[in-house]
Amino acid sequence: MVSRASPAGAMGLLASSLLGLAAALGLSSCAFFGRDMFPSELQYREASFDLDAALAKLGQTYRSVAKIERLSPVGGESRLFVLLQTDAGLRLAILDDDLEGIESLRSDSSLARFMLGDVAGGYACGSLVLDAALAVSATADASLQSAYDAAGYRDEASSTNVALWMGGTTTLSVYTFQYDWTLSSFPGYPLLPVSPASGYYLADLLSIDAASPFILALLPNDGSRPLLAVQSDRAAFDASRGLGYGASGAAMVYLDFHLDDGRIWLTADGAVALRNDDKVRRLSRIDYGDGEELDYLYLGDSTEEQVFSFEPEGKFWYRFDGKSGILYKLRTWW
Amino acid sequence: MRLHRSLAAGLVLALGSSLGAEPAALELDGGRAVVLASPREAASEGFADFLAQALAQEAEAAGLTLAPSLEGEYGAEEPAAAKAAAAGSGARWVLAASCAIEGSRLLWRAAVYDGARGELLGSDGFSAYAGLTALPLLAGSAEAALAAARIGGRSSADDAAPPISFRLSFASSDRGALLSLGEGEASFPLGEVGESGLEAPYLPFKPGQRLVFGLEKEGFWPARKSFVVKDEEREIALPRLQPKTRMAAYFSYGSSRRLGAAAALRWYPVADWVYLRAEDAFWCAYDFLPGSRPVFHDELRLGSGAYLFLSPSSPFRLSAGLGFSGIATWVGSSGLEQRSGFDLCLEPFFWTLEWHRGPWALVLEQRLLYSLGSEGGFLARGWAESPDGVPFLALGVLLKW
Repeated sequence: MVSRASPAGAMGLLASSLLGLAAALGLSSCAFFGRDMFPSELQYREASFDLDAALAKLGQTYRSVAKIERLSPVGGESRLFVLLQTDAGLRLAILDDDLEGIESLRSDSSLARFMLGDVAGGYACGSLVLDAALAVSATADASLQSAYDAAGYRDEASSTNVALWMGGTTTLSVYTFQYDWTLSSFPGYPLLPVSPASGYYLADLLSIDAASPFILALLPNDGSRPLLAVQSDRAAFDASRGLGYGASGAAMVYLDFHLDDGRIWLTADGAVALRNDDKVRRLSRIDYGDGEELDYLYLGDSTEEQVFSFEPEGKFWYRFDGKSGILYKLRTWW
Repeated sequence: MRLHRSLAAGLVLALGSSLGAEPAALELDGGRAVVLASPREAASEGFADFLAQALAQEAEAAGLTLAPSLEGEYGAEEPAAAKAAAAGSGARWVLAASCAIEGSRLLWRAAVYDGARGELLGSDGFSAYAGLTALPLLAGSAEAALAAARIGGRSSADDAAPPISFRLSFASSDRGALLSLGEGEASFPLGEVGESGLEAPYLPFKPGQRLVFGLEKEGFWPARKSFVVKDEEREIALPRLQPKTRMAAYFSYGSSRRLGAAAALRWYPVADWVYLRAEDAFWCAYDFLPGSRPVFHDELRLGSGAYLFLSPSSPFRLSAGLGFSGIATWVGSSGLEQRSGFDLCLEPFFWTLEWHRGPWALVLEQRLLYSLGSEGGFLARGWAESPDGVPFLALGVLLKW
């Protein structure tokens, strides 16, 4: 049998040659071929949505986007929660996962930065709890409104929702709620001896399920280097309560750089930090083992008016461009 | 001017006499000269005698001793007759005097030969009314011929360094180009460059002598070559002639389009000095990472440039210019509201460093680009730059015609 060259075959050969060349040069990891004058993230855009225009149609004005988070409740539908800062307080826009439109726009005094897809298939934002149909189902403890740095996880085994935040300069508050958001316990745990006198700010928490690593991203209030407190699983975290992290066997991974505007996200594939050191503004993926940079994505000149969010599974991330009012859903680069 | 004419005339005769013949060294007395008078016509006999005598006096004044005068039978074979006279007399320097009457005018020529090789070293010819007033002019010609030949008064070092014994040969890829000795009006054509270069007629240059050659060809910028004569036979490499460029095609690869290329057309309203340029570049941005999808760009770039400092015949040239460009972009994902865009950019400055090799040149280019932040585009307003800080450099080939 004789094989004949075809244009498609030639293109395939060219593509595989280029891939081979890239691999041979060791350039695939540094994304050498993707760099031009255009934003690198163009290659990763999955979907976009003109949030500005959509809100205008609903008659909603806003000053800024305070937070974006994709929530995936147990047995429920994944949705994108966008917290808006308006002159009249916080507003919540809820979008479908494919960014096809705003499903719900809410105004409620219970809204706050804390967000969680809960164990019962609903969603919490601040102390406001919505069911799967986005109807108000409960109002949780009001402390979730005042905790600026609260983050949470849900425990399917015990059917509880858990919220954590820095209750004091050196104390980690752990609030456990029943499946219906009834508060069941709210102890505080010392972070000593790793805490600096100025205390920490809880930037993010990662606990996808009981068996996956339990990680806290802590930013010292004195401006020193960020810290990742890494534990093997949720059981290890539970066992360490009351002992303090320094004595609990948690791996303390200090990052050797400062974050730009304190922004860091934890994903299953590593922490993603917004950096502006070495005069290069980039999103840098960090290894939980040693705190070293795994890879990065270049950003443009400025990240002003830009809001980022990374989903814990590490498949997608979101960027809101405050200048254009466009919200983007992007594939991760790893 | 008269001296120049004398030297040029001497060179012409030397070329005519030495073509195809290698000079043979004879055992002759470098301190002696012999006068060779032309066949005598009754009408000019007195003048010829006077010219021969004047030559003899000039030779003696230059410190040479004279062998008995000879009367030649040379006509157009003067170099051969001079060689024979030297062989017959044992004197190295042969002083040839010839006169003729045409109507009322006297024509004369005084020439000095190196009898060892039959080379003409210097001569002077003139015409005047055939009367007594011609006599000072005859004496002047004798003096001029001796001066042009530079014999007698030469140092022993000059005698010890004879002229080169080979023809100068030149290497050039510019077939059909005319090679001249000297430049401008005072130049003297040496011949046309052939397939294997050019071998010039024999010229009695001294080692250490500095020469300037000019090379010309229709449709090309002239070039010059300065050369110091060596006493060993070596091919002289002539500079490559640069064509006068009216149009050029340019193909390049650049740091700002790593999976792509650009093609441009240049038109030169002023050949090799000013050009207008249209360029189209197509490239793909693709990280080869799991989440990335190719993004395609096409840039149309218009501009003009001018060459600075160096002349068109120089192999290295520098140009600078400005322009503007439009960049169309296509993004693959179907979930995007904006899947294509158009960005308009100004290019306030670009420069090229070019290495010209005849009909082609290697070009290194750098550009500065300012995005206008067009609505519907993907670039923000401001200076465009590569995220890793690599300047916008391109390397390409220019094909000229």
